[in-house]
Amino acid sequence: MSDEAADVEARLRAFLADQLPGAQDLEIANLRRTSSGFSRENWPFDASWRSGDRVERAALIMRRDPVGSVLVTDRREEFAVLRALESSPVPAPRARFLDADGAFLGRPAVVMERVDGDCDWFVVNGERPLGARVAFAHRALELLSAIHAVDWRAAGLGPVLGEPAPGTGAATAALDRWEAELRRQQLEPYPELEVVLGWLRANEPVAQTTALVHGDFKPGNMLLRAEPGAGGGPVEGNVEIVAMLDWETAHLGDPLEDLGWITNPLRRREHQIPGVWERADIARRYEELTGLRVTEADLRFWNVLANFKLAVIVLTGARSFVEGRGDRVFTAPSALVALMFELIGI
Amino acid sequence: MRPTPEEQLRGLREVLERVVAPELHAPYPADVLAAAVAALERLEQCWRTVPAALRDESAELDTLLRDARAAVDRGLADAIAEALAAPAPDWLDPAAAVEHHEARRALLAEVVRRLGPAGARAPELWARIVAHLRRHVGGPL
Repeated sequence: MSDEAADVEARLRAFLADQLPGAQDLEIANLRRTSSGFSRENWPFDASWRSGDRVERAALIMRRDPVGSVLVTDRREEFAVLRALESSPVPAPRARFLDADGAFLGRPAVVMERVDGDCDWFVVNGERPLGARVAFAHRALELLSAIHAVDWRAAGLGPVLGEPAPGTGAATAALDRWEAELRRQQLEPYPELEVVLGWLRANEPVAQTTALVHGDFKPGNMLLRAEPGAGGGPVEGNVEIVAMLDWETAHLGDPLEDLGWITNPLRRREHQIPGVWERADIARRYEELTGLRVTEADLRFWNVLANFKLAVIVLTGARSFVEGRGDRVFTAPSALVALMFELIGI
Repeated sequence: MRPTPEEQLRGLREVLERVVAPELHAPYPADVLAAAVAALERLEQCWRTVPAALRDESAELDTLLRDARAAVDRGLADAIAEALAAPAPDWLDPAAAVEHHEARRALLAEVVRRLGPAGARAPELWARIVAHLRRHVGGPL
């Protein structure tokens, strides 16, 4: 076990002892750091403890802020969203414990139940039969519309996440957030991003409703499982979504923001099937599922904002690297800038 | 001067790939090493072109900024004039070259902000700025 893992295990032991008063014989096993996740450290582990006469066992995962992240988000908000989703039809891991200020775990962290399933970023363009891939694509969009249908007011998420003003409020809030992040993170002037920012400010769309927005909806953030057949055996190729992960950028906003994220031309391979399930098909089906109207102008705005967000994330990674807090090299977001220029027609 | 910086970068990358990578079995460090190797390869391919790219782009920026003075407010126009009057850096001094280039880009960013969305206040200048940014979208590295 590495020094880092030994430190994490000791911290987890102290944290769980604090969160589970009365628990005895607490054991932690199979702790390791996975390579997944650019923005958070992911540490799966198994825990067991005795509670009276009963032995409890739990498959858990700790998501902790890294020393240097590509994305600055709040574990309190993530924890609140996961708790709110428990009473919704949206499949998500159950949040168990929160160390909001990192008092026990060194840095802010959430411990949640681990869900069994496979991750496949490119499932819609993988080796499964076309019918199964199209069925999955439809299922994913149905899941997105279910997220947008979450009754966030009843779940008490308004005060936690902040409700944008009606009209262009959601777009303004999203732009304010990402421009502020750009100013915090940029190491050098970026006239290219000033051009894009000016375009975005001049083209803010009016939201038809305020919804819970996932913020990073993609197959890479889903856990999948082969669908059981009539006889209980797996059906070749068909997959069900057992959990939607990575709620760290969830917020209240315009639901079309998520639609702009998944129709971003940069991520075509993750979301679209050439000739069968393309941008227009996704928009049309989303309109049927939600009753919302999707215009090309709105979609284009959110496509551009999606790439602006990604550019800011790259610049955040670059700052972390330069300051010795990040493990990966990030350079200028040139491809994103080129795509944004194309999208805004310059 | 052998091994040259290019040869050293290539050698370093190959050593990491041949000697270190096969011994890394934990997924996270293996992933980080793969990214580091890719970054070394990128540096190896373009480090030589950086000084000339900074010099050439800075010259283009000087022209744009000179023409932008008439389209922006007095304060920014004066800042541009002052920057343009300063002597050019020693282009063989990487830190001075980067600082000079960055100062030019900071002024251009300010010009973009002042011209408004789609350069409404100076469409012809705006088109030239956009063309410049498109031409250099890859940056020197």
